Amino acid sequence: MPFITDDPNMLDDWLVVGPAPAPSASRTTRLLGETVRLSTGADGTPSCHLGDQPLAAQPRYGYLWVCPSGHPARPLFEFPEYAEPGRRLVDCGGIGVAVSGLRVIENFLDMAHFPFVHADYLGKVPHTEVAQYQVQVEPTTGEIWATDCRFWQPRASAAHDASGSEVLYKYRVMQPFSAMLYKSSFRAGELDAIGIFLQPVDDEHVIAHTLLACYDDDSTDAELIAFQHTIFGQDKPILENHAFKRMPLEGRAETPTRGDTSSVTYRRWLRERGMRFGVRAAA
Amino acid sequence: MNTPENTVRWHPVARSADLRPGANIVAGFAEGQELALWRAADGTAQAWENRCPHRSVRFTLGQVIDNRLACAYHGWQYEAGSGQCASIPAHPAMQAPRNVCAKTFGTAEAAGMLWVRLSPDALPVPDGLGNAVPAGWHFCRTLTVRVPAAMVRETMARHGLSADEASPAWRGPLDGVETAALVLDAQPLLSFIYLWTSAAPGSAEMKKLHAAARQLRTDIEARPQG
Repeated sequence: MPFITDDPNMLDDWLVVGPAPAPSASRTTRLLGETVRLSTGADGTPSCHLGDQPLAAQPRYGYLWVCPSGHPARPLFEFPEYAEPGRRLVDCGGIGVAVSGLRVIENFLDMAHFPFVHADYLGKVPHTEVAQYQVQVEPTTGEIWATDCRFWQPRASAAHDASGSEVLYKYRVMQPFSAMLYKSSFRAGELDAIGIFLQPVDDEHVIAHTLLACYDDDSTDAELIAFQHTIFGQDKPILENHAFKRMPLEGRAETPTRGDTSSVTYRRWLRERGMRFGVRAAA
Repeated sequence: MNTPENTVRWHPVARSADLRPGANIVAGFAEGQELALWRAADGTAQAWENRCPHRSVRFTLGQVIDNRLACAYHGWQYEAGSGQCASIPAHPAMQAPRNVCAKTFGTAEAAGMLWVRLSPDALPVPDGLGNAVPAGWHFCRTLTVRVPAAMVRETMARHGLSADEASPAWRGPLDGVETAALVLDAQPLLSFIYLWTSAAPGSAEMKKLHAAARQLRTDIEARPQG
């Protein structure tokens, strides 16, 4: 295998490489230390090649997904909200981040940073408390679910004004490099869905693809994308300033606290599957 | 002489004047160790490992709040001096656990510089630090060069400077201007040179030293690597 890792958690899974090109077009991108070519035939069928060699590929959820080994250990996760009528589907584009993808997913699952990193948007001092929430690994799918999460937010989305509200969250980790969140939407009783799918460039670089499946009758696509970019732009300098770009899974290099249940579960879940890609070797 | 005082080196990591009480955080280096340098509101200088114990985000992104350093990621606050975590905003009612502690290093302020040693032991500050720059001298500039500190010292020797016996400084005239040079071994391929001089600010002598400093840097960078 020519790729930069031999970790089956990456090679035997479906990895996002961004949206498939338009019919009869092609482009190159980076995957696990290699340059791959994405092409779409005149009939609309997308493919991915490493040199002359075709890789297993499938279009789903607006992106192309590639299995480097050709032997996927499991099918791609379900994303039922993608097909739900009434939702706006907006691809917010790929943003490069110079850190292990595991750090990006952990950040995505984290509420405690809202008042500090996303001040006046997703949180505001003194509303800093992280109330207890539930985290479990679903036995059937192996996914991590964090439920009963709530946080006071000044401006929870592009559709919200700045008057503030308590926002309900559910989080879901489908793959080491893929997660979703569901949060109170502008529409009563309905939850917006936001997916983050990380394209692994190498152990310390990813391209983060963000997809909205949301309810919003007023904002333009540009406004929805701009809001996500504002939020991501606040996270990016933090993410790129971890003293260790790779995430430690063992030992005492980093100290969690009570509200880090999602993070602690995610790290244990990664450890149990023998994750090595993007992981800092134990000291 | 292998006394601890000699083997544990004091590194000149910043000018004292560059750290304002209760204000900025300065990124520093010593022998490859990344440092967060700051001054508590009470004036005491702090040199910490540049890494929050919680999620390893660099402290230099954070802010100084009175006598505490607050991490930019989750707002955890750490006490000046001990490095002990004093506040975890996600759990306002919970007392921060004792085992959450920033790694701190010993500091000394002498000769207009902040000095750091990378040992946790409490050692006396050697008299030599205070003699590194004669009283009344002025700061000229810092040179940053991407070479090992040993190569800096070799080049300084060829420019007529020599190691001072009573202090860590290199002394001598640089193009005729009395100079004290302090060399920081920042990283394996990164060194800083702090130049102090008897020349007055704005004087023709100071201008001459600035020109000599540029020449010194050019000569250091021109040396064959490795």
